[in-house]
Amino acid sequence: MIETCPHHHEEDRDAESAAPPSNQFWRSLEELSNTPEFEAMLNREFPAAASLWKEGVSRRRFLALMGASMALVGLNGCSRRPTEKIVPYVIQPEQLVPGKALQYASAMPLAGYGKGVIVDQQMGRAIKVEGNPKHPSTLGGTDVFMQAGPLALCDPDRSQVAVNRGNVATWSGFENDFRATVQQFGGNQKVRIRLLTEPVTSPTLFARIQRLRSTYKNLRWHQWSPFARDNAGAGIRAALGRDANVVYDFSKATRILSLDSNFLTDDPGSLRYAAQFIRRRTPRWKPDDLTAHHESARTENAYQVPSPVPSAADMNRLYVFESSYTITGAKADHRLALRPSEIEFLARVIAGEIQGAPTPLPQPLQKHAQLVRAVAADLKQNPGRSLVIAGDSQPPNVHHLAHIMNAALGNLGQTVSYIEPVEPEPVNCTKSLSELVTAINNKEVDLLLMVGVNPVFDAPADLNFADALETIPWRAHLSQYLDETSYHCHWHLPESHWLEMWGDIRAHDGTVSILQPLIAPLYATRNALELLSAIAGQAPTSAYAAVKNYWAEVWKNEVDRRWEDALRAGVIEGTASRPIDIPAGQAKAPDLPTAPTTSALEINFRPDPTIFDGRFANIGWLQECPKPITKLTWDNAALISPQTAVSLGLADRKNPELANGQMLELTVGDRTVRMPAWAQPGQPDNVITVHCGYGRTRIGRVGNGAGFNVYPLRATGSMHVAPVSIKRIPGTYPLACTQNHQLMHGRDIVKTSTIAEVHEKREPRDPAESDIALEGETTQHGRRVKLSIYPEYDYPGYRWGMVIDQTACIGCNACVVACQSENNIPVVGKDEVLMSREMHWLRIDTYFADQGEPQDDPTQRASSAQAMFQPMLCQHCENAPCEIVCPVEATSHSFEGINEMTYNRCVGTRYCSNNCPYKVRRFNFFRYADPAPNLAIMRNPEVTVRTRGVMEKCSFCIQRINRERTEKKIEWVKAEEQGGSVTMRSVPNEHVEALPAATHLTACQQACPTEAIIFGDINDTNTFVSRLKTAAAYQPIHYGVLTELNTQPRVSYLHRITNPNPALTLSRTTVEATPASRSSIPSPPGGAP
Amino acid sequence: MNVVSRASIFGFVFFLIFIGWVGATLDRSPYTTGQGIVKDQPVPFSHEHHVGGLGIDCRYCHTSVEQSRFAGMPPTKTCMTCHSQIWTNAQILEPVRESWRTSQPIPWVRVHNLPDYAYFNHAIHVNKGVGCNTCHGPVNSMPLMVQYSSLQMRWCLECHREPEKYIRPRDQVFNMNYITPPNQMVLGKSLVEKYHVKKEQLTNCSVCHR
Repeated sequence: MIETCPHHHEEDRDAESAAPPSNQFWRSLEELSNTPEFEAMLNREFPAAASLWKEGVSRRRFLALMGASMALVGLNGCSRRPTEKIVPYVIQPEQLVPGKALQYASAMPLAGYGKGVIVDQQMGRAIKVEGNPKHPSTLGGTDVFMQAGPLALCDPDRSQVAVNRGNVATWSGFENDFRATVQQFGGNQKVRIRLLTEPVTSPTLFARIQRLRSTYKNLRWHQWSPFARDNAGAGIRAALGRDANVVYDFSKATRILSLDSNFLTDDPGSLRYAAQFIRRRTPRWKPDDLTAHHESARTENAYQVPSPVPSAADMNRLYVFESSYTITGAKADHRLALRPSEIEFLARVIAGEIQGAPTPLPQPLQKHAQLVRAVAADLKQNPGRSLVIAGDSQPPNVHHLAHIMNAALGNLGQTVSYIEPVEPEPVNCTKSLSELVTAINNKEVDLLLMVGVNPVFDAPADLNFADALETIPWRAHLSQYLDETSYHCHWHLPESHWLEMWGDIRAHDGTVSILQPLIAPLYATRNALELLSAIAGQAPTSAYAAVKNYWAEVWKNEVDRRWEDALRAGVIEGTASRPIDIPAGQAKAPDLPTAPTTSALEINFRPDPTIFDGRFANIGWLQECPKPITKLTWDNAALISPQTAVSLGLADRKNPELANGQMLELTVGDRTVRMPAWAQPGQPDNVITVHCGYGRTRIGRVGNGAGFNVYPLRATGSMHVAPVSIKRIPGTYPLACTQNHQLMHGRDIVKTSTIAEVHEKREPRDPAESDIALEGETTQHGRRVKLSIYPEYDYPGYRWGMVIDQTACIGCNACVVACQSENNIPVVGKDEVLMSREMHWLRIDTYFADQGEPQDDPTQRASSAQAMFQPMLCQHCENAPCEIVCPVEATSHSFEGINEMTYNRCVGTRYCSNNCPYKVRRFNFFRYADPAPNLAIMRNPEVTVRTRGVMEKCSFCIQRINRERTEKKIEWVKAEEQGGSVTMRSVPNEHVEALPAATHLTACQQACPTEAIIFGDINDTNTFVSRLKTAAAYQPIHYGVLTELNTQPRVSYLHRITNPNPALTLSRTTVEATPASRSSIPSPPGGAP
Repeated sequence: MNVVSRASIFGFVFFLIFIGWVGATLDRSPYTTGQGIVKDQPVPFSHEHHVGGLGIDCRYCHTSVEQSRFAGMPPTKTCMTCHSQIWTNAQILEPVRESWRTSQPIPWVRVHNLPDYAYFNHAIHVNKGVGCNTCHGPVNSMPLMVQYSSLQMRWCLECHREPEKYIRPRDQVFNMNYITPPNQMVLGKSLVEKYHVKKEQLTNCSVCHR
C-alpha cells in the first residue's frame, strides 16, 4: 500500500494542478483579473519581503557580510546575563498567589454603554480581557475594543499630566483656577457653565451631574458622540410617542430582515445578538438548547452530543439590504446591495405587503420586486418568530417602518421588546451639540467643560466647532490623549483608562455593572466622577466613595452583601430597564418620501470597524487588525464598487483593481477631502463608503497621520448619507491590504452547503468510503488510507484538536486581537505590512463567491460577490511539512500532537515557512517587540517575547495547555493520595490513557462571541470537539483544509451553511430578467418601460 | 619544509580543537553558569541558621511553592513576625526594619536565574516528588545562598529523561535530610508510575519553552 500510494498521490496532484482552477471562490480583484504580475507575486512566499535589499546584493557584499556574520556569531554568547532583582511585597495581599492570575469583573464603557469583562491580573498588572458570561451584553464573548484594553492602558502616548495653557500643571492648580474663574463670572448662581459629555448611562455619574446642576444654577448639560443612535431614537419616538430603548431576542427569530443594520457589531448589545443569531444558525445546537445559559456551554464543556442538523424552518434566514459591505451582509442568505436612499422604498413596500396594503415599488427598483415579495411572504409566514431591524445610518422613517413591521408581524414581546430608556436623559446628540454651538456663538457660555469627547475632531463640519470653541473665555477638556480638542482648551486634564478606575455603567438592556480598577492609575489621571466631584464645590471624594455611596443609598442596610455580590458577579441583579407594554399596531406609517434618484453619487459615513470613531487610533493592535471585509490596515479609503471605479475612469473592466490606491477628491457641498479609492466587491454602485476616525493629528505616535479625516464632509443635516461629487486627482497612495498575503492559489479551501444540501447528504455512509480524512489518515480515490513513511504514533495522552465552524464565524476579528494580547504578538507598522510581514498568528481570510450565472468579466463578478470568512491558523499537522525541513529542530512535534516552536533554537532559515502549505508561520524580520517600559507591564508573562530572527506561529495557547495539565495533574495526584476525586476523561479504547478531563479554552475560543472555535482533547469522547470530529451526522459537512497533501491537520472545519429561500433559488440574473408583470406588487403608474 | 608545513597544518587543527575545548569548558564553568557563586544581598540571610538551625519549613517563607510556578519570596511582614520580637536592634537587620517603616520592598538579588525562554514551574515538581534539595542542594547548610546546580539544559534533562533516579515520596519533598535509599531505581520506577509522570512528555520542547 505504501509503495503504490505516493505514486497515485502524485498523479492526483498533477491532475489537479493541470485542471484550471474552478475560481468559484476568490479573495481579491487581482485574483479575478489574474494578471501576469499577480501570478508572479503568488509564486513568492513573502511577496515583497523575500528580498531584504530591494536593489539586490552583489557577490562581494554577500561574501563580506557572511564572513563577518560567521566570525561574530559566536560573540553573541559572550554577553553575561544581567543580575535580576526579586522584589517581594512588604505586606502581601491576602488572596494573591505570586505567579498565578487573579480575575476581576469590570466593564468596558464605549460611547456610554458598558460591556462586561473579566480581566486577568498577574501580580497587579492587567494582562488579558475576557468577556463576562454573566453580563447580558457580552454572554462571555468579546470584541476587538475590549481585547485591546491592556494596550490602551499601557499606551506610552497617553496623557500623563494636566496641561494649562501649554504648561505642565497640577490638579489642585486646576481646581483653584476653576474656582477663581467661577467667581470672576459672578459666582455659583450666575456663572454660565456648559458641560459636554458622551452619552451617559452611569447612575453615579448622572447623580453627580444632577448635584452639579444644583450647585451651579446656570449649568447646561450636552451629550455628544459622532455615532450616537439619534436616528434609532427618533424612530422609536415616532413609533411609540415616547423615549424607549429596543432590545431584540435573536434566539427566537427564524426570519430576519436587516435594513442597513450591522447588528453583529454596531449595537451596544451586538455581542449578545451575534451569539443568539449564530445559535439559531449553526448546526451544532439542539433547538431546545437555544435558551440554555451561555456560561455553561463556554466554561464547563457541557455541550450536548451533536444533534441532528436543524431543519430549514428552525434555522434562521437572514435578508440584508445594505449600502456598504458589512459582516452582517456577509452572513446573509440573501444580500442586496442598495443605495442608502433606496432602502426606505423597499422597506415601505415590504411593510405594505405585511399589512396587506401593497404599495407600488418605484420604477428604478422594479428589478427587486421578486425578492421584496419573497421577503415579505417569508416574514408573514413566521409571525412572532421574525425580526425586522433598521440600521443607525438609516433615517428615522426606516426605524419607524421597522417598528410597524414588527408590530404587524406579532413580534412584540417575542423577538422585539421595548424598555424604559437606558440613558437617564436621552438626547439627540447632533441637536445637543448644535445647541451648544449656537449658545457659544450667542456668547451665552462662560465656561465649557468637556469630558471624554473630541468634538474638534469629530463634530459635524458645518458647526465649525473649533472656531466657536476659541471664543469661550474658559474651557477645559478631560481626555486620555492630549488631542485635537485639548489643543484648543486652556486646560487639558488627563483621564484615567477604564482599567484603572471605579465607576458604574449600564448595558444595552439597562443592567448596571460596577467598574473596578485593576491597577492604581499609572499617571496623575482622574476619571469623570472625580473631576465632577472636585468642581462640585464640596469636599473631593474618590470615585470609589462616589460609586459606593450611590449604591449604599439604593441598597440601604444590605449594602455590604450586595456590593460584594455586584463586584464578584460583574453585574447588579435586577437593574435591567423595565419593559414597556406597547399595544401592537398603534403606530402609523410615516409619509412617503420622493422617488429615489439614480444618477448622483452618495457617500456613506460609517464608524471604523477597528478604531471606531477615532478614539482607538493610537492602539497599534487595532490599527494593524485587518478590517473585516476590505482587509485594509493602517488606513481608510473611499470604498467604491468595481463598476463605479470603471465608470469613474479609474480602471478598466478587465482590471477593476487598478482603482485601488488612486487618489480621489470627494466634495460634499463646499467641503473637500482627498483620499485613495478602494474597489470593494459587493459595494453598491454609485455609493462611496468612508470609515470615519482616521486622519488624527494629535493623538500619539501610532495614530498621527494614519489615514484620512473624513469628518469634514459630515454636516448636521447629513450625518450618515450625503450626495457627493468625485474627481480623480493625480497620484496614488499605498494601501496596506492583507487580502493577497498568504494566498492559496485558487484551491477551494472554503466549502459551503445550503441546509437543504446538508439534509440530502445525511444518509449514513460507510466510513471507509468517506472522503473525510480522520486523524492519522488521508484519502485516496475516495478511500481513507494511512500514509506516512514514519511509524505511526498513537497519541495516548491528551490529543489537542480544534474544529472551526464557518457558519458561526462572523469575521469580527475578536480572536485575532485576543491572540495578539495573549501571545505577545508585536505590531509591525504599515511599511512592514506592505511587505506582507504582519505577525498575526491567527488571521481571518475573506473569500468571495460568485453569485448567479457564471461570468467572465471581473467587474460583473465582483458586483454580486458573497463574502465568507475562514479563520486560518497553524493547523498542527500530524505530518507537518515544516518540521522535517528545520535544520535545527526548532519546530518539532509533541507527545500531545502539538506542532511546537522553540524560539531559542530557531536560527531563522525560514525553510519551515516556505514549506508550510497554510502560510501561517510568521518571521521576525526585525525586533518588532517594542521595548518601551510602559508596554512591558502589558505582556503576558507566560509567553516569551520574541526577538529578531526567529519564526513564530500559533501554539494552540501552549501556556494555557501547560497550566491546565499542571493543575489537573496536581489535583489528580493529591486526590489519589487523600481519597478525593477528579473528573476523568472518557476514553474510547484501552490505547488511550486515563487522565483528568481538560476543560480549558484557547484565547481565540474564549474571545469568540459566537463560539465558532471549538478546541479540546479529541481523545476524550466527552468533549464537544471530539464529537464534532467523529460523529457520523457531521461527516458530510466536516473537512480538513488541503488534506490531499497528507498533512493530517488537527484543525478541521465545518462547512459554511446557508439557508436560502427556496423561492429565490433562481440566480440573481434570472431574478432581474423576471418580467415585472409576474410580481404581485403593482407597478407604479406609467408602467414598466 | 614539509615538517614545518605539516606541523602548522596539524597545529592548526589542534589549535581549533583547543579553542573549541576552551569554549566548551568556559560554557560549563561557574563563570558562565553562576554555580556556587555568592551574590551580595541587602541582608546576608542565612538559610543554615533558619532552616538547619531553627528548623523552619521551606513553605513558611516560600508560600506559593506548592500552588504556583513561582515559589514566592517572603514579604517583609514575614521577616517581621519574628524580628519585631528578636534581634530588634541588630544592625544587620536594618534594611528589613527600614522596609517595614517605609513600606519599600527589599530588593533581593536573584540567585537562581533561568533564561527568560525557559518556564519552570515549582508546583508540579514539588507535587510530583522532586525534593527541594534535589535542585537547590543542602540549603540547610548554606550560610549564604548559592546556586547549587548549573541550571543548564543538560542538567534539567538528566532528570527529565530519567526521573526515577531522583524522584522521592511526596511526603519527603521538604525533608532537607532525606537520604536516597539504596533501592532508588526500584522505588523511583514505582513512584514515577504512581505519580503519573509521563517520561515521553518530559522531553517535549513545549514543556519548558513557549
